[in-house]
Order: sequence, then C-alpha cells, then structure tokens
Amino acid sequence: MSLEKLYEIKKQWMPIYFILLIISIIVTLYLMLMYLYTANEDYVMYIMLSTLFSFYVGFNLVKLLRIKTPKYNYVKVLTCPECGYSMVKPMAKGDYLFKVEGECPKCKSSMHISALYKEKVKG
Amino acid sequence: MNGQGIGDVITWIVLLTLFAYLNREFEIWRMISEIETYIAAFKSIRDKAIQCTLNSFKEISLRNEQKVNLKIIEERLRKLIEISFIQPTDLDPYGIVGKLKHLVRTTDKTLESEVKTLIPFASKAEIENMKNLIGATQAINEIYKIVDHIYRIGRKFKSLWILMQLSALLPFITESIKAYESSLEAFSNGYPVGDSVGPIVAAKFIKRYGKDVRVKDVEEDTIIAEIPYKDRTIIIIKAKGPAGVVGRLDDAVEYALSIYKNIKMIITVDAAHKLESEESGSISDGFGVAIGGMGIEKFNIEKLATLHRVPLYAVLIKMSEEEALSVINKKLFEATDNALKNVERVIEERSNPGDSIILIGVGNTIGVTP
Repeated sequence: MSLEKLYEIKKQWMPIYFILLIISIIVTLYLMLMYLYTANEDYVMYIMLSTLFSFYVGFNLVKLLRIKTPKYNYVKVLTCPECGYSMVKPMAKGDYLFKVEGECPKCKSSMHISALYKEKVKG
Repeated sequence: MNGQGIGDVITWIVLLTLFAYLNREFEIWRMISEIETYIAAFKSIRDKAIQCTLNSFKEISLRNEQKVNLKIIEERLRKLIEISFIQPTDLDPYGIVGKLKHLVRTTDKTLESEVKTLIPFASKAEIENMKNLIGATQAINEIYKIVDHIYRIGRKFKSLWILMQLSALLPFITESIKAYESSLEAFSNGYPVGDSVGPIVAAKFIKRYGKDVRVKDVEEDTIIAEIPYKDRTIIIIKAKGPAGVVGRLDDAVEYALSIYKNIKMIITVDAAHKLESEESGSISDGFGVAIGGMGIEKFNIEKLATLHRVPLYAVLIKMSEEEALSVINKKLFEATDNALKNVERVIEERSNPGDSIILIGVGNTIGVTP
C-alpha cells in the first residue's frame, strides 16, 4: 500500500536518528560532567541545547517506531438458506455476494455467500 | 558610541540577516525533502498500479488459456492512462448535461472496445473490472503528474509559497491516492468495495423480499426488479453485478416512470463522504438524489422527479474516501443491514399501501449480484 511505501522511505532514517540520539545523549552527559567538575556556567547553555536536540531526535525516532501498517483478513460468510448454518472462509478471487457455493454440512442444501468483507487483524 | 560598539551592531545585523536567510533556505530544503518523499511514494504507487493492471491482463489470459503479447498491452496501457477527458464548454450552459453524458458514454464505450481488442476472450465482468483498473491507474498517474509538476515549478522558482501550499495539501492528496491504490486490489480480484453499499442494500432487499422474483435487464448494465413489500410495490433499480459497473440509473428511472403510473417516491441509497468527526458506517437520511460522480444522473433523476412531482429521499452510509474505494470492511458491510432497516422505515412511514416506490442502489456493483 501507499502508506507502506511512505513508511519504508521514512524508516530509512531510523538508523541515522538512532545514532544521532546516542551521540547527543553522550554529548549531554559529557557536558553535564564538565559542568559538575568545572562549575563553568557556559556549559549550562550547551547542556540545554544538547538536551533539546536529544528530545527532537528522540521524538522523531518514537514517531517512526510507532508507525504500524494495518493487516487485514479477507473473509466470506457462507450461509445455508434452509437451516441457517453459516461458516467463515477466506475470500477467493471471483467470489461475489449471493454466489451459490458448496454444500451445507448439516442439511446438504446449497449454500450461498451472504457476506464478503475485510477485517483488521488485531495485535 | 565608540568604534567597537558600531562593529558589534553591524556584526549582529549581518548575523541576524544570515540567520534569517539560512532559516528560509533550511525551511525550503525541509519542505523539498518532504515533498520528494511523497512524490517518490506516489511514483512507486503509479508503477505498482501499472504492474497490477498488466498482471490482471496476464491472469485473465491465463485463465482463458490464451496467449497475449504483454509488451503490446503495456505499450497500449501506458497510452491509455495518458488519455484525457476534455470537459465540454460551458460558455453556453444550456444542454451541457446532455453533452457531458454523450462524452462520458463515448469515453466508456471506447475504453471498453480498447480492452476488448486487447483481451477479446474476456468475460463481461473481466472487461468491466479491467476498465475500473485502468480508470484507477489513470487517476493515480494524473495525481502523481500534477503533484510532480507543482513541485518542479516551486523548485524552479525557489518559491516557498508554492511549496508551502503543496506541502499543506499533501495529506489530502495522499488520502486520494491511497483510496485509488486500495481500489486496485478490489478491482483486480472482483471484490466489493465500500461504494458498493448501495447495490448491496438493493440486492439484500431483493434477496429478502423477492426470492422468486424475476430480475429484468432494462438499460445497459442495469437491472430492475418488482418486489411486493407490505402491500406496496417496490421497484428496485441497480447496476447489474457482479461486474464493476455503476449502470445507467437515470435511464432506468425514466423507464420505470413510464411503466409504473403510481410512483409515490424515489429512494436512493448511496455511500456518502464522512466528516472526520463522523463514524464510518453511520446512517443518515436525506432529501434529494444521492448520486456522486459528474452529476449527470443526479440531474436527470431530479428533472424526472420534478416533472412527475415525485418526492426524493435518500439513505446515506457514511465512509471515508479510502473506504469507499477499497475492499468493503466489516463495519460497512454490517451497516448495510441498518441502511436496509432505514429504507424499510422510510417506505412504511412515508407511503401508503397500494403505492409504488422506486428504490435505487447507487454505486459500483462489483462483487454484488444480481
């Protein structure tokens, strides 16, 4: 699907975001330690900038990680008009609504397709 | 103010100007890269659509145990998707609907004969599904080309405003292209789509109340069935399935009005575009003719109803653009039962025993019989 392709292109950036996040975290920690040891207030501004950058990269990475492409099951419901028995089967090419298909396992009458649809796979 | 102070001010002004310039450049770069991502995706969808259509041609020929020259089909297909539909001039709007109808029919007939020439052994349903596939591929190709054109213009003139407008529209364009893309799967397999809800409701009505009723072909790709329902006569009109056609509903209504003299109302059941706050599959009533497209059939049915003074009612099933064109989902399929209940309610509340009512199942009847 189009979204899949779009996500694929976007997900190509994931390793870069990941590396950038690690680097920025290391830099932030380094700057924090430097501030602790030297007490130089210039480091505070650098820490802020570095933290902001880390948040930005982290936010984008989370956005990419949260992308999920939905998956669907294509089903048809076969119903027996005589006894009302019904069963669910995977949809096949050429199926159409009210197509007569198969024999009812209960009363041996002809069954027909009473529903055709796709449903989202959970999980 | 000494020399040092002036120097500082100038440095600040230069830095601010540079910053503003770089910010603009960065913004353009960011926008360009975002648009390029979308364009790359659109291009791959266009190529996928062409491939899907070609594969369908191949599958049909294999199914019919016939050999086709795929190279010739591909060449022809690439030309077919570039065909343009030229709208009739509206300098003098009088009679424009007739002209539009003529043009649409000509386009449809020509496309049909083109497909028949490529796969003469194919069945009616296969030809109609191929026409739908080509139509979807055409639409995807057009969207891709227009987006690419605007992007190129924006880049050529380094116009932030053009790129911004395109960028702002991209989510909506992506919705449309997604809708067309998901229709490929339905059209290549012959599965019902969200837009088939109208024909599904009509088919269910026939199945439920007119088991042994004979369905009659009235116009091309259109059927009519006379169903008795609670001392009333319901004349069902829908496109003839399971091929992917929408039928000639206006002509069928004209035919029904000429045959049945006691028509008390016309009810149209169709898919309607939902707003973001609305739920998919929700049902609403309406007044008027619920038919989308170019408006030819809508105009003709409205004209006929006005002429015969027949009230027009509608039952709408809400869905998104993508849902309307992709394989029907469970929620929408179940909504057809609620829509049917609504139709029955409208019939019972707004008509009397002995009346005749026209019920039209509007939409693409792919994967739905009769």
